Amino acid sequence: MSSTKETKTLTFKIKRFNPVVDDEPYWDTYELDCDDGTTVLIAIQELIAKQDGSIAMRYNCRAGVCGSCALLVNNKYMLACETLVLQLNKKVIKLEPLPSYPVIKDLVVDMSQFYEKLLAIDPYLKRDHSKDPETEILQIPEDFHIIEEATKCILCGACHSSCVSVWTDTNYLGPGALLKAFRFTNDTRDEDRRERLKRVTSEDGVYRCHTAFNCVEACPKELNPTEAIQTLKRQSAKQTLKFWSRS
Amino acid sequence: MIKVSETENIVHQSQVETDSHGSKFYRWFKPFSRGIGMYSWLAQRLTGLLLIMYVFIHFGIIGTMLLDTFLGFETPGLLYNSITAAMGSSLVAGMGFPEVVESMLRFSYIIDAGLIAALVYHGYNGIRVVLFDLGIGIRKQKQIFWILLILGIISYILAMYLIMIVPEIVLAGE
Repeated sequence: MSSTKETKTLTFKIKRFNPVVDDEPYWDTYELDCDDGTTVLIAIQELIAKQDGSIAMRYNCRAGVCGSCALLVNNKYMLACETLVLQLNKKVIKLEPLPSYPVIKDLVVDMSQFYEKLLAIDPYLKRDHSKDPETEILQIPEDFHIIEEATKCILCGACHSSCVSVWTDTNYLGPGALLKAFRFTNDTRDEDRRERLKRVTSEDGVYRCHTAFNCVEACPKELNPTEAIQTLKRQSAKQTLKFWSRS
Repeated sequence: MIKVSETENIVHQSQVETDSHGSKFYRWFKPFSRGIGMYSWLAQRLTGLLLIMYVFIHFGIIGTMLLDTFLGFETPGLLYNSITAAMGSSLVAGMGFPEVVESMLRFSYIIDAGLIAALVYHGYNGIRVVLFDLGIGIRKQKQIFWILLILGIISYILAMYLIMIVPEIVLAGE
């Protein structure tokens, strides 16, 4: 069987940095033959296998589901496993780790600050389980439609990395965690709405968002965390006004 | 969550301020994955700061009107008039420009032109931000930006016509 695949030699510039050894990050340049099926992840894997075994890279599912391979590819936030190198239409492909996270090595960053924020908003259903039916808790499609987009988040951390408010205030919950907060606040099965809204109204909560839309630009799944945050702002404002008019 | 060892942690702490993308300040202006939203927000902040600074200069200059009365000068408004006259003519006087160009280039006009630009931008982009807070047009933010920018440019041209061309016509009539 003859292969009709088109191959091209592309240059990969990878930002290398090992904080234990190096003082400053530096660029390494590699050349690789790529065909139209080569993703950025496959290219990096081939570089590790054939040219330089010391490149560090994190990946898992290779199908755009786990969110562990988010990178800056030519200054754009992308999932390495979903990005076809030939479709980038560039001869030089620049690979950098996500900005604003501390680098562990090369393309691997320490995302614990993102996970801390995520845990702070209690990302699970809270309800009185004693009244639950024997089978699963059903939800009508109209109710699910409200939170459908927010459930598609794969926690790659690109939005948190791109957010200007996170850069200046590291305590800010960030777009990723607030998108999750929106998802659980507006879930009709959840019974903790009041407390959830109170939590995101704190100083480091929704009002730190200045609608710069960096998270929307960054999201590889094309979700809209800004809209979720703006909705949370209105909902929390309504709840606070209700509280004051009652007392 | 991965726990890093203590020695590594120290290295990480020093890397928090400067990740592999440089310092916090540099990061603000590094053009990666940026859209209109980011730049419009940055410009909104900068014009906001400019307008605050201008308000204080404005208070100072307008305040000189009252200062005359306090100091008991015989001609009220002497200080204010001399300041505005100095701002209006001294900068380009005698530089050999044709008269019309000279009047256009007057210092106060340049300040006014910049001020109105900042004001128009801040106002129109302010409408955009208020719309987002009301939950309107968040998914159409780029289109809203361009529409408001065109409206802003039209307003700016109108304002420039009113402060620069109209006075010349009136003066020529006299």
